[in-house]
Amino acid sequence: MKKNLDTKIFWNICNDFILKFIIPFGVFIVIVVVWELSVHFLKVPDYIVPSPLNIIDRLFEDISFFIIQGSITLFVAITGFGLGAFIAIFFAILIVLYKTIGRIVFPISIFLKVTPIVAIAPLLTIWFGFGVFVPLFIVALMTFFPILVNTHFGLNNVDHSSITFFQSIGASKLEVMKYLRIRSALPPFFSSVRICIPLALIGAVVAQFFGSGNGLGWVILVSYNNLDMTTCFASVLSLSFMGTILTISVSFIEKKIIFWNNQ
Amino acid sequence: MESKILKHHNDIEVCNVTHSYSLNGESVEVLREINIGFKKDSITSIIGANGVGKTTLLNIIAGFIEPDTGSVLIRGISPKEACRQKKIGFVSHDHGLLPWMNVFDNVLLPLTINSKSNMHNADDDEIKVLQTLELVGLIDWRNYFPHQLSMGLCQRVSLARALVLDDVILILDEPMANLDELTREKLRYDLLEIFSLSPRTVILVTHNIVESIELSNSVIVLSKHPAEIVKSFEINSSYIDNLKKGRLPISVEFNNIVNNIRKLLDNEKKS
Repeated sequence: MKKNLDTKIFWNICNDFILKFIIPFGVFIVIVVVWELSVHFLKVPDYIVPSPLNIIDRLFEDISFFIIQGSITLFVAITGFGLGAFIAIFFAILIVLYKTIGRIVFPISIFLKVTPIVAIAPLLTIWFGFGVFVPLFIVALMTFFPILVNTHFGLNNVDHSSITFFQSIGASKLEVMKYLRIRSALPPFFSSVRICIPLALIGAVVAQFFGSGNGLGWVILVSYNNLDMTTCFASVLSLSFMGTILTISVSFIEKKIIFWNNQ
Repeated sequence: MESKILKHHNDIEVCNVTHSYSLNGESVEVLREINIGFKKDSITSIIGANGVGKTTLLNIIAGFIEPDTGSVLIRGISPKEACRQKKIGFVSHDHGLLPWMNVFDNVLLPLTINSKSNMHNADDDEIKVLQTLELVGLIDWRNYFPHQLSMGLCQRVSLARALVLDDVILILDEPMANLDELTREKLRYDLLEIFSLSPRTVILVTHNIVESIELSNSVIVLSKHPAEIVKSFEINSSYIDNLKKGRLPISVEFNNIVNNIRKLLDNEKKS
């Protein structure tokens, strides 16, 4: 009986492994191989679709260049996100403490939200010049709204019995905020962070299109102008890699911090 | 014996409390001229059908809602002031524990919040928490987190969190509504045990007739729409004594009270 059970568990683990890793990874490999072969046999020129092997070659040939440009984009994305998140959290807390502030902040932030920030990027470049400031500003603007809305929801969506308890011991508004609301807001906050990672990368890349003079966005623009699709794809590959790493680390941090939610 | 001497000393006075809600622009009367005196160190049950306004009454007693007319005095002060002085321990049917704190920290919380720092001694607080956990039988669970405990245990922690405050009036809002029958029974006996070890003034809201008789010194029956006090029963403490000895409280007298209360509630439903 026991041996039977062991084999069953073993097969379950194998099954899990196959479903979670082998199949997605296998599909990915197949796509890449088909891509490589079709480029090779159909003799597609590199300036239209480069072959995966050439892209990887290009990436490792100049790895330090891509690392430097990638870190600039990453820096812009993370710092801009941090800025946007900080301001959003600040306002979310303020709105919960003083309802009137919400009446002022929400209409403005919805207006900002519906305006495609990317569309005003060229304008911002004229006002504030080239460099790191405009990308930072754009990323902050793009990430501000999702974090504001989710954090505000989380701060308000508090267990009713817990609120009753805090009321019954005469806790002040600030104490309720400190001991109860901020922690309750963590799960929705983290889901907004996961929404914002791709947004921050998009914001950073697009902002760098408009002549920041550095970063992967700039690399993509220059290689596009030179019909150097291999470099372009290598930059895109680095961006996807960064996005994946960021998402995985956020999920990891989330699981560590919100330990009570994932039994 | 102590409770006999202090029989006419009321801990909580509810005077002429009337309250109404507005529903779709219409005013709906929920409570009408409620007068209750809760004696010191006695357990009083308030019983009534679902949605008659038991919880509203509790919220008024605890000072969360201002009544339209009438007043509540808790040991001579207003309920709001009593909350500020931490004289009220509120246990609701959901435990309301903070999921990111373990049992110990959850019970410590009422002592750290809203406290004047100069009067505060962290070591004393910790001793008090340990004593309370010992009293409710949770001392071995102190390092666990709420999501690791069963509902019954969580409810116990919630009780400990109310009991940790000195000289507190307990307001229990259907504390056992979410528990299964056996857990309820166990908690009921343990409640009696706890209150005999450290007597408190307790207000218990329930819709379980047997539970209300077994646990309390007096039972107040509320009518429906608007809620008025129909009758209040004084309960002979012999049931409590029987329960403590582990005997079932069944007797002719007990059954009569159960039937009386049932009839009162039933009549209310028909009318």
